[in-house]
Amino acid sequence: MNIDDIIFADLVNAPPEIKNTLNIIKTNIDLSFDSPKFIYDKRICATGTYSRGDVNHVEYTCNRETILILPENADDNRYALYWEIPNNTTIRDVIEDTNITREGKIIPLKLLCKKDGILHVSDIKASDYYYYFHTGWLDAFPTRLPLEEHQWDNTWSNSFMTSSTFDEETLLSVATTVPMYNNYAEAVEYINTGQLGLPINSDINDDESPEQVNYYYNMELYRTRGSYNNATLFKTVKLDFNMSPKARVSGYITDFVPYNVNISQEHTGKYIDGVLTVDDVEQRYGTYNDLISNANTTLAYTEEDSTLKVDGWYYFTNVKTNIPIFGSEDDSNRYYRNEIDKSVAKIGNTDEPNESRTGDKLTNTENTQADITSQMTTVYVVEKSSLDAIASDLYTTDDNIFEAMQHGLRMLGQNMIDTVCGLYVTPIDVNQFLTNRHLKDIYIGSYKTNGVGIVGSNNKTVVLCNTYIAPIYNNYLDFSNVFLSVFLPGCGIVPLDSAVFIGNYLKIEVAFDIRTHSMKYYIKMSNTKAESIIEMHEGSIGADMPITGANQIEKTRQLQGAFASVVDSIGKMASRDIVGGAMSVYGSIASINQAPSIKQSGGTSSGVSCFDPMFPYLIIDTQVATIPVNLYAQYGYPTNTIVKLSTCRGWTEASDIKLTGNMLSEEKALIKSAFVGGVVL
Amino acid sequence: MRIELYVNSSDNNVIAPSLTSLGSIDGHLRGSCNVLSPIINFKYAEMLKNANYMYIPEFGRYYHIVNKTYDGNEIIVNGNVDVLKTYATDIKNSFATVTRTNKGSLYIPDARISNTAQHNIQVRKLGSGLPLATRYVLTVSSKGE
Repeated sequence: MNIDDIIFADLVNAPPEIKNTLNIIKTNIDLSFDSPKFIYDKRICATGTYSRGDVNHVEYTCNRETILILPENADDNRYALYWEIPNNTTIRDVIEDTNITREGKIIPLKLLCKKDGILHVSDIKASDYYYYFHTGWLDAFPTRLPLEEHQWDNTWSNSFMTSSTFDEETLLSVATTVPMYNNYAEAVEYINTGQLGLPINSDINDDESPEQVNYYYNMELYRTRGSYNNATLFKTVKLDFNMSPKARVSGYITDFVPYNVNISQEHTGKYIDGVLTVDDVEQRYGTYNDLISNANTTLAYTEEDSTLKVDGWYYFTNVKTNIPIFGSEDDSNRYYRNEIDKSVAKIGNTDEPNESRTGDKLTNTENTQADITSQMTTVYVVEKSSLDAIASDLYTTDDNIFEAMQHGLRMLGQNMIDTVCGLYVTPIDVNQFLTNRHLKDIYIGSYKTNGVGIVGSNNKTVVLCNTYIAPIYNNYLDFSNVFLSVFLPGCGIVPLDSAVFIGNYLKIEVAFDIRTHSMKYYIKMSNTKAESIIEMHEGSIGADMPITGANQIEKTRQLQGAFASVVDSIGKMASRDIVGGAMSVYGSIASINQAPSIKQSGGTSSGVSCFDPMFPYLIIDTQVATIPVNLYAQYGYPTNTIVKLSTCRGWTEASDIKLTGNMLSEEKALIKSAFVGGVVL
Repeated sequence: MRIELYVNSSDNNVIAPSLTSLGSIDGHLRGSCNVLSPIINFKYAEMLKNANYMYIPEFGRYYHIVNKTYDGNEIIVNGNVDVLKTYATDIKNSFATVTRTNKGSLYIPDARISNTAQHNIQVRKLGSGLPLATRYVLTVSSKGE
C-alpha cells in the first residue's frame, strides 16, 4: 500500500455519503478514539491550513508529516498515526509554506486539512484524500478542549465541504487520542490486529541531546465556551519560544499573567521570547528575565476565562543560595520578603489549605518555633529529570556550594536530605489516579524545582476494561466447563466465578495508592440491570529505593545511586511490558503461575525488581466436552417440568407418573419403568 | 379365540407403534396362562411367519410376540403385554415429572454429554492496560530524623 492508497482523515460532522465514500466512520466533534495514548516525546510537525470565513489562515509548517490511517473495514474503529515523511522533509505539495518554521516552535492548536494541490479547504471534494489532526504537546492528554457541547451549524454537501466546517471553534473542539507509531508497519499492525504495539507514549527523555531537550514543551491553550461568546476572539494564537540549550522553563501563564515562572534563583543564559497574537496584533509578552522580574505587568491581555499554560523545562546550572525548605510558595515568598525569621526553618508550618497536602493535617504553631512535634509527609510525583536535579544538588563535589549548603542548613537547623524519607519508581502513570493534580514547586530551602512535582491528592480509579464475556457453549457447559481467571498486574492470577461473568460484562477498575504504590483492583460484574463489585484484590507496582543512610552523605549517595540504577532498567521494562502477543504474554503468565509470589514490590537501591506485564489478561480454561451428534433430535432436551404427558412429543423420560385407568398394578409398574428409560410419545 | 396379527416396525418403547395388519387368525391358550405373558397355540398359517405383534380382544391388550416355537403343524407364540399401546390414552392423560422431552433447556446439565480430559486455554488481553509512564514518587517529611 502506498501513501495514496491510504484514506486519511477525519472530517468533523461529515455527512454519511462522504463517510461512506471515504470509509470514514468516526466523525464527530469529539474524536474519541479508543486509546488515550498520544504523543509525548516527538514533535508533531506538519503543514496545514484552515479557513475561517473567507480568510485562509496558514497555521504552521514543520518538518514531519503525520498520517492518520483509517481502517479499510468500515466496521473497524481502530485508528493509528504514524510518521511518514523523514525529518526535514516537506510534505508533498504543501498548500502553502510559511515563514514560521523555526525549530522548537510549538503551536497549540493545529489542524491539517489538505489534498495535494488544493489551496482552500472549500475546494476539497469528497473524492479527495484529506486528513487532519490536532496536535500539541500533550501530557497524558488530559486536555479535552472545553468546547464539546457547542452546537455547530456546519453544513456539508457531498461535493465539497464549506469553509465553515473548519472554523476555529471546530478546530478547538477536536481532541484526538490516537495511538501514534514511528513507522507505518506498526500502525498498520494496530489497524489490523487492534494490538497496541509500542505507541510513542514515553515521557520526555532527558537522555536526548540538549538540543532536543530544548524543544520539549508542554503547552495547552484553551478558552472556555464563554469566551467564545465574546466579541473578541482569537484568530491565531502563537507562542514562540527560543531557549538556549539545556535551559528548561516551567510555569503557568494564567489569564495571560505569568505565574509560577517567578523563580527566585539566579538563572543565566536563559530567556523566553514570547509573542502572543491577538486579533492579528502581536504582543510581545516579554523575555524570560522580564517574566522573572516583572511578572505581573508583562502582559496586557487579560481576557476572562482564558488560560494559557506554558510548560517547558530548564536545567539549573548553579545554585548559590542557602536552602531553606518551605511548605508553600507563600511561605517562601514571605521568607524572601523578610517576613519570616530566617533563623528557623518553616517546614510544613503553614496555614496553607490542606488540599494540596497529604498526610496529617498540621496544627498551627508560632512562626518562630520550629515544628518538632508533628510529622507530616508530602508525596510528590517528580519527573526523573527533576529527581536527577535534586539528587545532583543534594550531593556535590563542589566544596563551595556544598559548604554553602551546609551553612544554610545549619542556619536552618536542619539538613535537607533528612527530609527525604521515601522514594520509589513505578512504571505507572500515577497522575491518572489523581483527581486533583496540583502542579507544585518543591521547595527545599531556597531551592525550587519549578513546578515539576505534582502533589498527590485524592485517588480515583481507572477503568482497565469493560469486556463482555460471551458464552462459549451456549448451554450448561458455560457454567460447568468454563473456568475463568484474570491476571492483574502487580497482583497475580485470581479466579473468577464463571457463573457470575458469563453473559455479563467484566469490568476491572484499579486504584493506586500514591504513598505506598499499592493497588486495589475492583472486579465488577455489570449488565443492563446493575453493576456490582464482585471481588477486590490488592497488588503493588513500584520499586522502593530506601534512603536509609546513616548520615547525610550516605543518604544522598543512596538517592543518586538508586536513581542511576533505575534509569536504564525502567525503560527496558516499560517497553517489555507493553509489547507482546498472546503467546509471549501467556508465557509470562505461565511463569508467574509457577511462582505466584512474583509480583512487584520492594526493589533495592542496587536495582529494580521485575514488573509484571501491564495489562490484565483474561484466562479462559474450557474443558472439552463430547456432545453426541443428533443428541437433541433423537433424545430431546433436558427439562424439569410436571405436565400431562399428552403435551410431550418424541423421546420422553419421566418419573413419578400419576397413572389413571383400569390397569393391573404390574402393568402400572411396567409403564413407570418404561418412562424411566424413555418412551417415544 | 380370534387374534389379530400385526407387523410392528417400531421399537418396543413407542407408545403409538407403526403397525401393519396381517389379518386375524384363531388360536387357543396353551393351558392356564398369565394375561400379561400369554402362550398361544396356532395352527400353522403363512401370516404367522411375519407377525411380531398381536391383539387379543378377549384380553383387551396388545402384545409383543417375543418368541415362536414350531411344533409340527402348530406354532406356539409367547407374548408380552405392550402396556404403552394398550393404555396409551390413560398414559397421555397422566401427569408426570418429565426430565427429558422435546421441549427443554440447554442450561440443565445433561448426563448424555460427557467431558473429555482435554482443556482448551485461551488468554485474552483486556483493555488498553495500565496507564504507563515512568514516575518517581518522592516522599518528603516535615521534619528530619
